[in-house]
Amino acid sequence: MPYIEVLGQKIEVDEDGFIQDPSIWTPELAKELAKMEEVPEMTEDHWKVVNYIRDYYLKHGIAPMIRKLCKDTGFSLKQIYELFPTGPAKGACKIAGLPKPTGCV
Amino acid sequence: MALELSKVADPTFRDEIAQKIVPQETRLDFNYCLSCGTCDAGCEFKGLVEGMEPRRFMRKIALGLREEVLNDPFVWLCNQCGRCTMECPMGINMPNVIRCIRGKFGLKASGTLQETTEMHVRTGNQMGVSLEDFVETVEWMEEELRDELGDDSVKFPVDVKGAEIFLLLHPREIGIYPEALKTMYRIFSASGVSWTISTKSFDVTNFGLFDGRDDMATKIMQFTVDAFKELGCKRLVCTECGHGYWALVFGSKYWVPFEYPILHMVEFLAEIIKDGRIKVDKSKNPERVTLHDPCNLVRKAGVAEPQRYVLSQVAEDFVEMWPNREYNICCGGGGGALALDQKRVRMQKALLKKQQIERTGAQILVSPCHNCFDQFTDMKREYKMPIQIKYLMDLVDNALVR
Repeated sequence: MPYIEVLGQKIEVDEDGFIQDPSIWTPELAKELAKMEEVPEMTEDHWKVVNYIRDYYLKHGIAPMIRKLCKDTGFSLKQIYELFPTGPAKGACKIAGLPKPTGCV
Repeated sequence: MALELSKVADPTFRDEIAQKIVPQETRLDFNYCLSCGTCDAGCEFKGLVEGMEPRRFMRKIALGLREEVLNDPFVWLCNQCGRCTMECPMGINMPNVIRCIRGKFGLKASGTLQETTEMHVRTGNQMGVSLEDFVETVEWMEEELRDELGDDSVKFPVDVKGAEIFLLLHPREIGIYPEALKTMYRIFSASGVSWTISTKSFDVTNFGLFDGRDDMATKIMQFTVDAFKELGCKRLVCTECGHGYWALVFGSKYWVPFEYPILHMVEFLAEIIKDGRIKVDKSKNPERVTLHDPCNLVRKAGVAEPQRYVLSQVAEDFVEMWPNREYNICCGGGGGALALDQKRVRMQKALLKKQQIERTGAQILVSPCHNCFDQFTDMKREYKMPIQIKYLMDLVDNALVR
C-alpha cells in the first residue's frame, strides 16, 4: 500500500492518492493533499468548498453532485475548476479526505 | 514436475470455465489452446508490465491449475482489450475468459470496481445520482443555455413518449461535467431530431461487463430496456462511452434481448452530418487532431469509420495514429482498470500511447470514450503532455454553423 508522509506521519493512500481512512483527516493533511492537486495554497474559497464537501460526505456517505456543490457554496462551475484545476471529483474530494468515488470518474 | 503437477492440477477446472463462460453458444473448449504464445505477441503490454502474459495464463488454465489461475495478477491486469484474440489462431476470446474468471469464482477486486456495479444495481446508475440531482442539473443547464442562446424556449426533452432517439448519458455528465449536456443539446436541437432522456434510466455504463457478474449486468441492462420500451422510442443513442455501447450490443445477444438499433454517439454524429441535418465548418477547428480508437468501440464492436468521416468534416488537420482502427494500442485504462487500484501500472501502460500521440504532432486528442479519456487525463498529468483531450462531440459543437 503506498503512503505519503505528512508532518512526520505516514498516511496510507491508494494509488490515485485518496486517503484510505477518511476519519484521520485534518485540515493540516488537507493542505498537504492540496499541493498534490495543483492547489499550492488553500484560500478561504478553497476551504469553503472543501468543508462543504466533507460535511456533505459525513452526512450522506457520498460526495455531493456538482449541482449541489455550486448551488450551496455559491461558486460557478468555472470558479470550481479555477479553484481546483484537477476537478471537483478527483481534486476537491481528495483534499476533503473522501475515499475514491465509484465509477469511471 | 509431472508428479507435482498431478497433485495440484484440477481436471474439472477447465470444464467449469466452459460451463460458466458467456456466451454459452460459443462455449470455448480450451483444448483448442495450442499454448503457442501468439497471444503474447498480440498483447501490447507484454514485456512492458510485469505479469502481462496471456500465454502463461492460458497454459495454467489448460493444465487445470485452479488456485494459480484464480490468484494470478493477470486476472486484474488484463484490460480485456482483445488485441491478443486477434492473433490467436484458435480464436480464443480472452476478454470473455477474463470476465468469467473475474465474475464466476467469487473473486474480490481491488478499488471500487465491484462496488460501482453494485451501486448501479442499487440506485439505477453507477454514481448514485438521485432523481432530484438529475432534475436540478438538467434545469440548471437549461437556464444557462437560455442565457447563452438568448432563447427562452430551451427545454431538455425528459421522458418524452414516442421520441425517435432515446439518449443515454454517462452519470458523470450529470454529477461532475454537466457542460456535456449543453454540448449535446446544441447538437441535437440543431439536427431537428426528436429525442429524449429518461428519468428511469439514463446511465449508459455497465460495469458488469468489466467485473464479469452477468447477473448484475443483466439487471443493469434491464433498466434501460424497460425505460426505452415504456417511452416507445425508435433508436438508442449512447453518449461517448466505449464500454457502455459495447455492453449494450453484447448484452442484447446474451443478457436482455433488444431488437432496436443501438448507435454510439460517433455514428449518430456521422449520420446527421451526412444527411445534411446539421451544417459544420471545419475551419473552426484548425488545430492538428488525432484520434484514439477505444477497444470496446472499435476492436470489439467494429465501429471505426463514422468517427473518421466526422473528423474529415469538422477538423482541418486530422492525422492518424499508427497503428490504428482494430490494431489500436489500448489506452491502458480499459477493462475497469480505472476503478481498480493500479494507477502505477496504468501509467506504465500509457507510455505506449504517449509515444503514439507524440509522433502525430497533434494538439488535440479525440477520445470517444470516457474511460480512455480519464486514462489520458492521468497520462497528460503524469508526463506533463501539452495535448488537449476532447470528445468528438466537442469538435462537432465547435464547428456547428447556426
